[in-house]
Amino acid sequence: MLDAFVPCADEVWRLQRADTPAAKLFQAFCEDGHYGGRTKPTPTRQGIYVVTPTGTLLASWNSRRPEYVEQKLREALARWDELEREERLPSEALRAGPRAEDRYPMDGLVLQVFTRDLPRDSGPSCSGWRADAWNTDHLWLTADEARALAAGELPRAALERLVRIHGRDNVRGQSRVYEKGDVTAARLVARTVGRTEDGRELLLEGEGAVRQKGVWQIDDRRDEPAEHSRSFGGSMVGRASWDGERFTSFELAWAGPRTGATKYNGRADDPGPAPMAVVFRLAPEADRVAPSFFWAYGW
Amino acid sequence: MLVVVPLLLAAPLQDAPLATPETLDALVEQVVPSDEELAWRAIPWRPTLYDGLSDGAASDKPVLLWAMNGHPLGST
Repeated sequence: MLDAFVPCADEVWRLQRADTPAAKLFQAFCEDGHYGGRTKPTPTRQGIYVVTPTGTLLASWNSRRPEYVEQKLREALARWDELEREERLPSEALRAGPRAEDRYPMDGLVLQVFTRDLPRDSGPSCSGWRADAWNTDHLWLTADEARALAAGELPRAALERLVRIHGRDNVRGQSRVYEKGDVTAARLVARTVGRTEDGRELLLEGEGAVRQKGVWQIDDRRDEPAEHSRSFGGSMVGRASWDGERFTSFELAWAGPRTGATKYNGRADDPGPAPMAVVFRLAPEADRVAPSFFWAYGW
Repeated sequence: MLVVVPLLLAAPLQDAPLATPETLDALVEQVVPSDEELAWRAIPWRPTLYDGLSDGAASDKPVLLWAMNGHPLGST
């Protein structure tokens, strides 16, 4: 059935606020959908939508139950089949508008980022999805930053980005990026450990740590803002291959204890300290989703 | 080593460095999602609504949009 649709994914906060033609269409059709007009507990319009390329809503929902999803997809297709061609298709091509994806560093280094809890001996027991929770993101480095790392050391700006953004505990949900002043350790160096016909084999080593104190909520529905702290930090180790122009392989692990909780990261009842790890690896070229905190890049 | 490394990772090393050349492979294996966990990425999701609408217009198909707080393909 999926072949009958063009599947796409996007960030709803951006769609609800951006001024691009696609976002404007979303802002119109989402109000006809399952969360239309809603302001509490949040004004989010997240969910699944089926629309015509002209932006007419065919169906929407926010559930992952397979039977329900199938039913809604069939309803959407039935509505699609009732439409005339001119109702389905726009008369002219949609204008793109500025997008973070336009800044994809073609000649740089693009990494997938995965975050997950490590096994521990003590702490609250976890079950269900929490036991296996993980999250993903992306890290973009410019060609100059990648070249500098291959030559010996990741430059300060890139390193700070890596630590501030990917040191956040997002295993179970979203969490804010750390501020520049929260970085207490940051170093990533590369050492040549072998040579091949195609270039050099590198050992990556370093450390990164972030710590923040402030007033915030740690449970999105139950608590009032109060004094809290959060942190993450530990050593980094990895391996990579450099062919003289770009990285052809890359794996970096960063592990250590995490503490604290934030409003949406699901740690109110499990603030640690407990071990967590972040792994960075080369992204497939087709993976061009922008980093979730691209605004913090300053590009 | 295959036995020792998981034990190292399971130890209560709250303040000790966990990422070392000896634990790298085990960390990668533990953290990177399995093929089963990544099965949903086999769907050819376009990375933005704009891409979906453009391709939908080109192929005369309805657009299935997954919109979440945090990009579903990048930060769920």
